[in-house]
Amino acid sequence: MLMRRQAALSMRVAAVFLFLILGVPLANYFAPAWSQQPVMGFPLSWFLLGILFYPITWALSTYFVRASEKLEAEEAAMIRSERSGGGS
Amino acid sequence: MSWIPIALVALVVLATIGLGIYTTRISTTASDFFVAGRSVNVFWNASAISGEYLSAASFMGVAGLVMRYGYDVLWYPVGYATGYLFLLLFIAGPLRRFGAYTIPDFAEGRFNSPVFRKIAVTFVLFIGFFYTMPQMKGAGVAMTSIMGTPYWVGVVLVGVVISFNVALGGMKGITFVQAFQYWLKMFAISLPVFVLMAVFGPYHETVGKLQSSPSGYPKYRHDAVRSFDPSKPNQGVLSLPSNTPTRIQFVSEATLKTLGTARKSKPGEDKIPATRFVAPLTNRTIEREGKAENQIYWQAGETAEFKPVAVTKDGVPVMKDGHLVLTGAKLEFESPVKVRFLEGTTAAGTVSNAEWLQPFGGLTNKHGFPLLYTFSLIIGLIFGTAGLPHILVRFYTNPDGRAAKRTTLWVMVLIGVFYLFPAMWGSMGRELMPELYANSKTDAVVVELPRALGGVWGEILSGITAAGAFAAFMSTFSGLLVSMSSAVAHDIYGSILRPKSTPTERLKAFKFAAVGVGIVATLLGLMAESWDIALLVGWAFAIAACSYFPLLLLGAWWRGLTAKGAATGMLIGGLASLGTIITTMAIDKKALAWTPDPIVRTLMEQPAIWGVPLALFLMWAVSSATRTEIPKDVDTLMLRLHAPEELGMSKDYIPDGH
Repeated sequence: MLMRRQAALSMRVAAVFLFLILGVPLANYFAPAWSQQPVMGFPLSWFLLGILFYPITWALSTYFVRASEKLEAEEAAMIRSERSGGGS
Repeated sequence: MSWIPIALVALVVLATIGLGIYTTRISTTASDFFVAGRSVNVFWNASAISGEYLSAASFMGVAGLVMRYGYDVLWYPVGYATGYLFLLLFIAGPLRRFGAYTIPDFAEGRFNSPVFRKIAVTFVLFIGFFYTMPQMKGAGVAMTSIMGTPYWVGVVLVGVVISFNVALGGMKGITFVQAFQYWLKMFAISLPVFVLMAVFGPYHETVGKLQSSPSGYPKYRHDAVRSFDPSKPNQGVLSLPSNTPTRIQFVSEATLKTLGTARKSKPGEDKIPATRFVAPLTNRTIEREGKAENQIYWQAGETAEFKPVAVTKDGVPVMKDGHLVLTGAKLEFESPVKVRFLEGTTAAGTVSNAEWLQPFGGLTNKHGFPLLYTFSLIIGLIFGTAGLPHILVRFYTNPDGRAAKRTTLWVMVLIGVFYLFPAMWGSMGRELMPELYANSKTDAVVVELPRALGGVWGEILSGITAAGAFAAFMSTFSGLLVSMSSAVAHDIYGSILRPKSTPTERLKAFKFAAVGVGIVATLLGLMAESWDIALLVGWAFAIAACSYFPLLLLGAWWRGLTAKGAATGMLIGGLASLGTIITTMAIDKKALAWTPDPIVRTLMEQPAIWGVPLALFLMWAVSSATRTEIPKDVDTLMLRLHAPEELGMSKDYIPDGH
């Protein structure tokens, strides 16, 4: 049960990330003008890839670590109560 | 003044040896040697993993490639860094909770299959040696350019120092050295860039300047001399830019085999006579294979001016988007020659600013399927990172699965900050030192660029980056050596040859293995002088992505995986991708006369986009066919991989004190 919930969490985060990282080449390809517009002195696409991507992965992984620790704590609490409730 | 870089490099090497000796006092048991006693805290472990991961390729290579190819190369650091996200999401926690010493332990323990251990060990050694050679070559080449020593000096230096350290302190010993080396590298890649930006203007202004003159090219700030040698592949041809004239002085006498167009001409376009490209021009008649032939030549010391020429078709100029289509000249030299580009002229050997800043340039668009190439490159980099055995083995040094996840998070922060810098070096190098294009020496940009400041400060900062580069060779090689020595001492000696050996015997075996593998790695490094190091790293990533990553992903999450399924997928996936890469290389070196279709060629050069799914599919298909062979204790195993530590279900596969 825990494994399934953990897997679902991992897949969710992975899906968001893959959407972003595979989206950049698509935007470069199909909207070249848009991807070259200046942002803070850089072409948008350069800014995304050279700078912004790193903080994005930090945010995603922080979210994942928090959520996964919370899941583990919940699961541990549940199993413990089952054990004591079961009177074994 | 050139003693300054030498002194700084010597200091780093001595500090590495010193720290290595110091840590022998705390590193005593077998568990210390193989997994640092499973007691490394999050901060030290994250620093050490980052220190190990940031290799020669990251420290010098990425900056040089950014300078050479521009935007497309940004995928490399992004892929290297974000591969850890997949490690974190799918592998870090379960792998640590399994609690083994090596990745082959996982392979055997997960399926109760000793045969699988042998396959896994082979892959560890394979990937390890592929990854080692570039570090060694980097050390040899860097030492040559800093101190003018022969190639072997750097290779032997790194080989000896690190084999000594690893044999002395094992995993625990190198953990502290690598952590120290991470912070050294961070300092070395950032400080000089900040000084350069303070003097020459900030990063965004440099990139902004390039964007505001899209058809511009960088101009030489000093005279640049470049050598050509037609007897070596791709080193006998000079292509000139199509937008401005270029003045060239021939240092030695130059004779041409051909003078053609730099732009690939399309069918039907007129041939351009040499006289329209260049003045002055001298001809002579020579005899070649019994026939009289016209040869273009210049005497030593002569200066010639080359101009771009409009392309015509049946005498009518070719137009595109309302502009004339121009081409520069392409000179194919007959014999070795030295050429001087004069200060203020446009740099040869690079593309225009717009092409440099925009996606799908020379790197990803060389076969005409840029989107496919980019996707496959990204997949290979991300899943390759998540499947490198010398990185994975580090997760066993964490105290528990929770710490393993937190460590991964911090690794992503530490290497992410580092990877902001190579792109800065690349773009500032383009602006400040286009001479490196002329010499094809962009790889050395991190060591050369600080010299643009001039004087003692330039030398000191250049020395700092040289020292950082050495820290990179040494830390990555130490990690590889530990992972390969563990494979030999723990998997081959301790589990396959002599399963009854005591921990003390295994510890001794580890020390012997470290020295032995160190010697082999040094010898391979000596052979690697003429090999393309980027290719070797590419192999390591491709094999890892198509073999270990699928194994760990399904092994940790899918109950139905059987030993046969996993082995089939891993072997075929890994070998198929390796095979296509080797074939590509054979075609490049003209050892194989075959011109594949461009789309096939793209898929062969970047195999991850089909290799990873292929391996996963085979694992699924063969496992489904051999369903009866699912290990009986799979539920217990899965529980051990995933249950939080506080429930007390996780039990180290190899308990302490064993």
